[in-house]
Amino acid sequence: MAVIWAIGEIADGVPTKLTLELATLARSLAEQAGGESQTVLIGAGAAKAAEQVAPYAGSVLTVDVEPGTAAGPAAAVVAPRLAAMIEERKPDYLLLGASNDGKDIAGMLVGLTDLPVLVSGAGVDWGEDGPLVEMSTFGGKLVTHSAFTGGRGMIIVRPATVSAEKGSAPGKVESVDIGVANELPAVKVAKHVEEAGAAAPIEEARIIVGGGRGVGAEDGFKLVEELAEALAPSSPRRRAFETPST
Amino acid sequence: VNIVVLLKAVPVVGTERLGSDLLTERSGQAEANGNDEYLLEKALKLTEVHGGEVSLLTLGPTSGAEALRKALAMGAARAVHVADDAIRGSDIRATVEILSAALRKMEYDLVFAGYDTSDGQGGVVAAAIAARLGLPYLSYASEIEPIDGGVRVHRLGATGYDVLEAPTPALVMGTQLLGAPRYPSLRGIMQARSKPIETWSLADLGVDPSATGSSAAWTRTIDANKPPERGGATFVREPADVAVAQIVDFLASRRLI
Repeated sequence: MAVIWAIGEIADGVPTKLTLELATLARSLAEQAGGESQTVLIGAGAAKAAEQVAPYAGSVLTVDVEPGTAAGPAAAVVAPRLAAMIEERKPDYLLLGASNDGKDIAGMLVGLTDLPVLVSGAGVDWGEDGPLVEMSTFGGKLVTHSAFTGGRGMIIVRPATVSAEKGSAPGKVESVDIGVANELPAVKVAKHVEEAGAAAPIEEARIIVGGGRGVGAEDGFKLVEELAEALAPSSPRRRAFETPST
Repeated sequence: VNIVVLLKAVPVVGTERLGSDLLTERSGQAEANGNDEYLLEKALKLTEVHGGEVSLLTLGPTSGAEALRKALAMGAARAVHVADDAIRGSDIRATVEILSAALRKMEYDLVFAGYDTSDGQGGVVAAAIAARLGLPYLSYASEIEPIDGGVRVHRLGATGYDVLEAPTPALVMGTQLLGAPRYPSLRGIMQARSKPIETWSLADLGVDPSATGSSAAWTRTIDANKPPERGGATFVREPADVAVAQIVDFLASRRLI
């Protein structure tokens, strides 16, 4: 029976939108496989965040990390604990988000556990004997499907691959006490610097309004800005991104 | 400060294709991965100010040598090219194993890696190598500066950036915000011809060839197809205020907002 884990992320004490999507996807795959799904939350406030994840998840495993017991960026705290849980519970497949932290965690797990990984998943279905992962390859020139050959692996899933949907009943929440044999080398977070206009990561965006060469001159972006204002009037979560011209 | 830059030779962007075995075709023209060149530029700037030298490390077929020559012309001092027939089709696990083995043979204070590659788009290899080698890992860097006995990095985040510090040796994965790469000068191109490119085989690294390549990969591509044609586009050619109202109505009618 396949056991599928969704690896959640917590931001400011609440699960990210991508976490709810992964919980939904894990539950859906487990239903197709006749297996079970669990969403794993590791970090400060995991137990509290689990209350919001449970309606979307088969069940939830939480590892609360008290502030001060582990230092460093989130991925460096999560990865060694997750590696210890994988060693102990041996899940078959892991779903991770294609966020900065999600990709860092997946990479660290490749180094710590030797699990294979498929990246940039834009669709995941259950195939004959495991997940079938759809990817947009070479900048969208091709759509490929890939699978694991050894019955285990990690999939990095892009935002909005599925819509977050609640299950028929909230999943059970289990607090896990896990020992970490080897922390990763220390990286100190000396300070956090807030930047004006930075209020939400792009993968958390519900709507993205974009403009490019087609809008003509700089004035043309007025249309883009007005559309953003009409869709999310004066939202404090609205954020402007600028990408380099090529 | 001595820096190793991980530099992948990728198919020229726009010419990528899969072979009949569904592996990326690497017999055509290659170029240095664009994101890696930003890290090379930062490494060159740091060594120009603080001393030391920049080495390159690449993995792949002989077509990658041209990309290394350009990077040497930009200012890197030397290059190591891991090339072996057994490597073709390696999955990320094997790639990490080979690059880690090569780094164990090299001396450095810092290892730099780009955000991701134009052909793979994974963005996980750098973190995996750091974990495998037990190096501090500092990612999504928009600024990198050496400090006494260590390195300081600005890591991009959702609401700004974190200032990270770690002792060296360490591995830094960086972004394009580090600054655009330079063009090689004519003098640099001439000098690059005499700079050493060392070629290492899997045997040189002590890596078992049977654990690499497509036959040992734990992932496989099953099929590849052109994406479906996009549906017809609706053009709105009105003044901004009218256009915005029409677009909002259009999205609402499809329950997209």
